[in-house]
Amino acid sequence: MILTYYPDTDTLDVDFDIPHPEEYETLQEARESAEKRIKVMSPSTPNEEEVDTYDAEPSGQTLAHYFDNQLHGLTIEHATRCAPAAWKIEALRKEAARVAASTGRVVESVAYDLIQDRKSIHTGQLGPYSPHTSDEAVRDFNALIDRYREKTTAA
Amino acid sequence: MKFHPYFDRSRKWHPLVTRDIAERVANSHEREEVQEDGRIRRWGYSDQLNRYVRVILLPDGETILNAFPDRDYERRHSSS
Repeated sequence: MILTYYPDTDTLDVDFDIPHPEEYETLQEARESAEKRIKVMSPSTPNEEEVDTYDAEPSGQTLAHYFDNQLHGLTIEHATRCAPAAWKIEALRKEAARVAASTGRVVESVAYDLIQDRKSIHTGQLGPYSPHTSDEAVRDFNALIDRYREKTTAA
Repeated sequence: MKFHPYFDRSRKWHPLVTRDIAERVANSHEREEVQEDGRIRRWGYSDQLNRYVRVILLPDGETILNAFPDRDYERRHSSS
């Protein structure tokens, strides 16, 4: 199970498609847990060509992605608040801000393989800040980068 | 309209929803709601996909964050 966290939008993609068949049992558990969590119980129309998306909770800010009626993933908005605490998204967010402050590059995503316990940080163009400042999540992340830069400068 | 980088990243979940489709729906929506976080949801029918599509915009109303086929909306629409 791969978590991909996008710090500039505070969005988390949870991908249940993992390429290791020996981990099927864990994957199955993850799927069942997700199915319970999102409470999407109504039957859906078979569709082999297209990924469909459901609202997974009343606020509509967790999305469940189905392909051929099988849950393949989730998108959780406001992940620092809404994702399970055990996934430690706040720590990923802080790490992303630290990397942005120290490298001067935009951190596009932090990928974390929950099963393999492996983490990778993907950076993009120069300049640590996301330009889309009309969004609260972006402003918060930019402010977090500022705090780390100030600490670095003061040290 | 502008596109947030997340739009392209998120297309792994719904590859058929192109920038063109998202922009068309955003500009010719039949319903709009503002989320608590200020982001804007718009729904519209895509003739290309033959489906209802939801588009999420940032609070500036100009930047498309995400767009996807929305079966939830389709169900509500067909039952009303």
